[in-house]
Amino acid sequence: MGFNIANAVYEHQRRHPDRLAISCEGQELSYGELAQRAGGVAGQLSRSPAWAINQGFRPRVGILASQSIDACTGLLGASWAGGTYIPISLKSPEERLLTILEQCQLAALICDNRGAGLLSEKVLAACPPLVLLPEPGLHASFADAKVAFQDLHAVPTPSPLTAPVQINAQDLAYIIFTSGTTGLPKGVMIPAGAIEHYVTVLTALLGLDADDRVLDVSELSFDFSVHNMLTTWQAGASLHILRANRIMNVVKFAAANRLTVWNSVPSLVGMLKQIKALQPAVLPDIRLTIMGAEPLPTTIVDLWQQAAPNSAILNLYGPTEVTISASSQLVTKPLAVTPQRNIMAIGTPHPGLEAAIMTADRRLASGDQPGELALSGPQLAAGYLNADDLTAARFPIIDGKRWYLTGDQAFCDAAGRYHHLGRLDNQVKILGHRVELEEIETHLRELSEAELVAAVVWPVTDGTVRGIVAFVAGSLIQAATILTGLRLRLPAYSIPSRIIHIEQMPVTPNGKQDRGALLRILESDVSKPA
Amino acid sequence: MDNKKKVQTFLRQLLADYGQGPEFGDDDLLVTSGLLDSQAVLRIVVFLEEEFGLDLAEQGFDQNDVDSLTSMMRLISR
Repeated sequence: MGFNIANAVYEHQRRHPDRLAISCEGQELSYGELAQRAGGVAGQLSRSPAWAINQGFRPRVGILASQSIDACTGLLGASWAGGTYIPISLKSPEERLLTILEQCQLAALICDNRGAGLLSEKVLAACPPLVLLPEPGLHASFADAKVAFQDLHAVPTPSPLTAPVQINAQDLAYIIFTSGTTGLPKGVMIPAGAIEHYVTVLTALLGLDADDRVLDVSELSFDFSVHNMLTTWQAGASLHILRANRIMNVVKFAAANRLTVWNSVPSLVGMLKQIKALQPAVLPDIRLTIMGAEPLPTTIVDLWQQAAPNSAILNLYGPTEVTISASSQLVTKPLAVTPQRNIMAIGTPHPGLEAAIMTADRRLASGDQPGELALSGPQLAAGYLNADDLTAARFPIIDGKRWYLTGDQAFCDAAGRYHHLGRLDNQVKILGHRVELEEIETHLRELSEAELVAAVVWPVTDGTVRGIVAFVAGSLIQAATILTGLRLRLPAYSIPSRIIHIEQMPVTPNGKQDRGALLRILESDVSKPA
Repeated sequence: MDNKKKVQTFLRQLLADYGQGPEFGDDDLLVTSGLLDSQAVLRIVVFLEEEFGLDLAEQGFDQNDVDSLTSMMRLISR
């Protein structure tokens, strides 16, 4: 028994090694080639001295790579060898990278070309003993001999290929970092049993087959990427990666490659509409569309049904803490719309999962009473890395059952469908990325030397957040200086588009920043350029 | 101001908003290189439509058309 996220690739290379598995920037690998490369990485890792050290958990491998074939072979290889993979965003400024490296106790780090470009002297000094990268020679001069650089592409593959190590359900498959309110990113620990359950459920739900050609536009540090890779490879289909720097050409890319499955956040469709890339029936080959990680507005549904008239649309909802997605709603006529919000319902929990609405005093709400959405079942994360108190607070045991409190406000309608009513806290989604406004504010406070600061989302169009604006009260530090500081600490999607100095922060009766009043300042100011 | 100057001035401001320096070559790929992102592409499209009356729906959007100063000038003169 046991599971490995590389199992599907291993099985398909045995049965049909020549079938296409992955395509990226003109490079294509069959299942046989992908398995050879991943098996080669696994071999290098498992022979390294650090792999044998028992730290009380499975060896952890940082993946400083994204949207590349090397990123995929890296994470498959790390998993294949029985390790836990930890994607590290290439958008991380140096300070954030160092924070993550310090928290993880890695046995090895795997880089693609872009990741290797982030290996500054400070980062190298924080690196684990083994670093696998495409061109190790470039780093051979690094003076600190405690890091060994090896060629990611060296394939001393054993023949026949050794099968992936089967790991226990409670052992960790991956750890993904998301925004944390304190200013430190938090690592969500996903066990093998949780991702096994997810892949089984989604395989049945999606009905992909080996002829499907699947779009992947997700960064590796965003768990939508896990969905894209694993559901595709489980079906023996092919994954087509389009990098973020070409994303606005995604319609041309999907049409030219005759893709059949579209995975994206709804806000991408909103952006494609704005650049006029969505003409009627421009994507006739798409047969299934999966939208997730953000509320799905009905306006986006309408647009998409015109652009991809032959496609079914599935709305997925779920936090990273419950392994990618926890519920689904198929778009059917009449639309299952959430009243007053003009977004699609988030639907019914995946088989095997349980959803409930909790009142403020943590009792089950009755009828269609709104409250905090809580989730339970085999997809729950093990918790947050090195943060037991936070884990206990967000994953409480209620009446003998372990739940995750999502922080999302919701209600259940008479048909048993759940509806999302917004956040109970100040977490927002920017192009699908989770951003805690308090995290930005923590850094704003330090950099502006002002006590009262606020970050608000602005503007919001078609129900989608387009950006962030920051306010600082009574600060003498220039906006440009504060912005420069933020860029060193936060990923690009979290950076405010502007910083506005105000004399006094409007506050609510209980002393918190009055975000509504700040939005009204922006609304009265729309004529000025952003 | 001639058209090229207008676009140049706009791009300098856009780059500044992304924390990038103001210097760039006519043929530098500003989006594909990662200096600017998809949100910036939206702002470029809106600028070209409003300033030069372009209708991208008619032409069919191609990111290559808005990737460099040269490609934008070619688009404007089409």
